[in-house]
Amino acid sequence: MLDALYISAIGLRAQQEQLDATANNFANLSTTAFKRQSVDFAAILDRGPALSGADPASTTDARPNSLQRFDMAQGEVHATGRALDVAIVGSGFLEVELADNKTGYSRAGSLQISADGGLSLASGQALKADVRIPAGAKAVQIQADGSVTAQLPGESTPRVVGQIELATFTNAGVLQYRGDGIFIAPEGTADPTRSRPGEGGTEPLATQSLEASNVNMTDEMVSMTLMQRVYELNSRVAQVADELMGMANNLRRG
Amino acid sequence: MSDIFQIAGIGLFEGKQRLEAISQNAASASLPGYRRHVVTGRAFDAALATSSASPAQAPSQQAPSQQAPLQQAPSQQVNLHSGSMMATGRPLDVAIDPQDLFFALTDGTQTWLTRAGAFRVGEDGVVVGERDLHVIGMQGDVRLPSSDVTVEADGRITYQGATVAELQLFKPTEPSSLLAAQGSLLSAPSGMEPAQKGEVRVRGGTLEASNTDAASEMLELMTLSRQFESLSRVLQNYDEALGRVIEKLGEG
Repeated sequence: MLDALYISAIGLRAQQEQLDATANNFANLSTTAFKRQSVDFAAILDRGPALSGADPASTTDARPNSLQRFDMAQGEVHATGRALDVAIVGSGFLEVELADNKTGYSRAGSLQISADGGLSLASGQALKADVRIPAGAKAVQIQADGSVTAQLPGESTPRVVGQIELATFTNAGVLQYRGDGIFIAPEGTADPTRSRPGEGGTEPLATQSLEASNVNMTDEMVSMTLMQRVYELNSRVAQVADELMGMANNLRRG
Repeated sequence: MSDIFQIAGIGLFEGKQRLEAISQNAASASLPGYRRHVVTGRAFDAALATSSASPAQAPSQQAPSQQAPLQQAPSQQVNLHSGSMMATGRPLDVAIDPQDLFFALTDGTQTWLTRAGAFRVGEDGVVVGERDLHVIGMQGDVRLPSSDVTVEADGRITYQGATVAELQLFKPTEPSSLLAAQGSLLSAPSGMEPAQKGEVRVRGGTLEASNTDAASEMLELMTLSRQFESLSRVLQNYDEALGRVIEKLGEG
């Protein structure tokens, strides 16, 4: 009966973790290029006690369980009209420099010109792309093929001042979320392939647009309703397990 | 005399097993592809016979599971009804249409069946399922060049229009002998065979939900707690009766 209580506790915890993920999804409903998170139930349940007599795979189980999953599906692309907004269509990430010299990967394409003439994300991380925008340049634009053009003072036609590349992973599922719309590649992941947008299996950039969050309000609401009921069911089972244990303990009266 | 204690003991023990199955089902209510565990109650006289008689005297026509000693867990059988289909949109979420077919996952030595098709691309591009076990395809491991693929209805996996791998489904030789293992995994002690080519029908971007059903679990819970209560009442009354007998005998 103790087992039943422990199992119910794991069931309750699994629902709590899912609720945390759902809350996070709701909070990021309008975050640019946010990817919805979900919880790997199988991994949570695996942390619990094994069912007696039914424990085949536990001996092979030395790996840490990855509990969070990201739904890498494409978010809706909507036009913003801002010259430095780009939306990535299909697979691919923008590579950014993180504070600890690591490389981050982001799809939040609301770019801005940083003080040194490069491009950076709205959250401040510098893009690794080779872009140098000279001081005084006007009409800075990003083209669908990733090239950055600007009108320099004293020149009549815009010229190319840099090139944005997309990094694609064979397996984007292994990336870990680091907050601020930035993913990092865990140790041992194969290097991504870098290519110009529109080449090497990537789609051209959608210019003057942003990718919306791929959180779907109705789906989250439905999963929240389910969560509540499953939580209730688990707590009821725990209650009955407790009652039965009480009965067993009181078998001998007086 | 102690037979009544033993009988009630069998009942209480089976009640505990049933409670564990219920709690496992409730905890796994959101686990895709989970099949609810059912504790198969042993016929009462069979349980009594095996617990009181020595194994040598047990009638030979009894099934192997009925010869198990009292304190061994009864086997966790599974309810194989399909769960409802949920659209997820993730390319490697795959649900199986025919009710009697399964994916096979392997760790190299042992193979399990499962209906849980929440796959992902693991190390070296190999498709893995629950507990990072390898999914068995038409040509052994399923290897993909990218996780951005499409699963076709006939089990083929295509990447940019070209077929890169093919999923294989399996049919247990004896579906009723499937046993619950960890999570949504099932073990098939009687073996399995690959499904025929035309039988394979899968849906990409879809997951099959757990078939745990709150109403049946609650019903089971109600009958269980009442049964447990009456058994404990039987034990108490019998204990009191024994006490009175001893008292009376002591008086004389």
